[in-house]
Amino acid sequence: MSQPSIMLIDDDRWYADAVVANLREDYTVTWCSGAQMAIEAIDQSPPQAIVLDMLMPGGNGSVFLQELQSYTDTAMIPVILCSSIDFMPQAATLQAYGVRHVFDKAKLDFSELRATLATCVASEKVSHAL
Amino acid sequence: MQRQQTNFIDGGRALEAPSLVAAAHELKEPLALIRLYAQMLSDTALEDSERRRFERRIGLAAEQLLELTSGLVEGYRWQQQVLPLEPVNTHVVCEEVAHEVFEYARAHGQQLAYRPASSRYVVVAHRSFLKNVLNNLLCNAVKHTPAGSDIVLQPVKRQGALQIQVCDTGPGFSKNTMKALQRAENLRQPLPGRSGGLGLLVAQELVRAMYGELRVVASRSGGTVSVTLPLSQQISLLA
Repeated sequence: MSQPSIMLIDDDRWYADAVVANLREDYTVTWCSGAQMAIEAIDQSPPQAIVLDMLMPGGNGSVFLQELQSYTDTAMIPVILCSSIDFMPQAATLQAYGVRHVFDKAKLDFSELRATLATCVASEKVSHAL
Repeated sequence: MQRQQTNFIDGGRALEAPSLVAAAHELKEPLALIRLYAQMLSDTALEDSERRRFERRIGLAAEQLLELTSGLVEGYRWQQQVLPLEPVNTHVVCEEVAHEVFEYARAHGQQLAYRPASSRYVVVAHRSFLKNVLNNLLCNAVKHTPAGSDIVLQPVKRQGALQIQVCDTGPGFSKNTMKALQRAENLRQPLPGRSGGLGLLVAQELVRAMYGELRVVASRSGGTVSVTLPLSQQISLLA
């Protein structure tokens, strides 16, 4: 059985390497260093969940979330925010953009991330089946 | 008095140290990376070569953190004081900084090249602050440039001044970052839109305190951040 696919969107290559190394045993992880690259990759192959940083050059996370919500096929993809941004938008606003969970990037715990991803991927499978 | 002790030739502007929020931001990123790597090394099955690479990165991130800390401490030490300026040989400084950042760039899969000017120009500056600024700009370029790219450090003579350029082929700066850099009132606040770009804020304040100018030019093919400092007139009088 093939591994669930997730997408990591973060411009910090070293940070991304650590996350990919930790998740690769259970997930097929596609790393994108920017929002534009991610949008193009999703067009080719939509992931089952997305881990997104908010602050990135050339189009930040909020631009990406808006783009994702613009299409019915991508609007359902669960998003996990992982950012060190100080002033995060309110939970209700984020939920409207498909955000399921928010992590402080500086305090990220891999076991919590894995648990959240497992929940997101499971719910995505259910909604896909329906 | 500081002026007499340091035998300086000119005084700079009073230095505005970065706000506590900006300083905390600056330090948070490498700290978070070290924490994450430590967690990953204990939790994740890795091959030996991969483990060594990640361990090396922890060391490099720690070095970057120490460099940032020294810069910030120095900035706070001189807060609201006039900087003592002196003639600084830019070739020596550029060579030292390029050497220091070379490994960091290599670990990111990039080539860092220092292209010296045809002459050994001497500027009026604060030596350790100039080193800190160039180190900061180079590390920032390394972080935001795709692997396999080139980063170039090159001094170029302008009228009565020397412009030290850091050119990269990264994604450039967001409009918000550019605007924040242009607005004097935002100097001591965090920059939006580009993580790790905060170093520019500290660099800009240090350059300003040396009567210099920090400029950011972004294009589709990358960005150039330049530091322009006045050439030392005293040295040319001796020639």
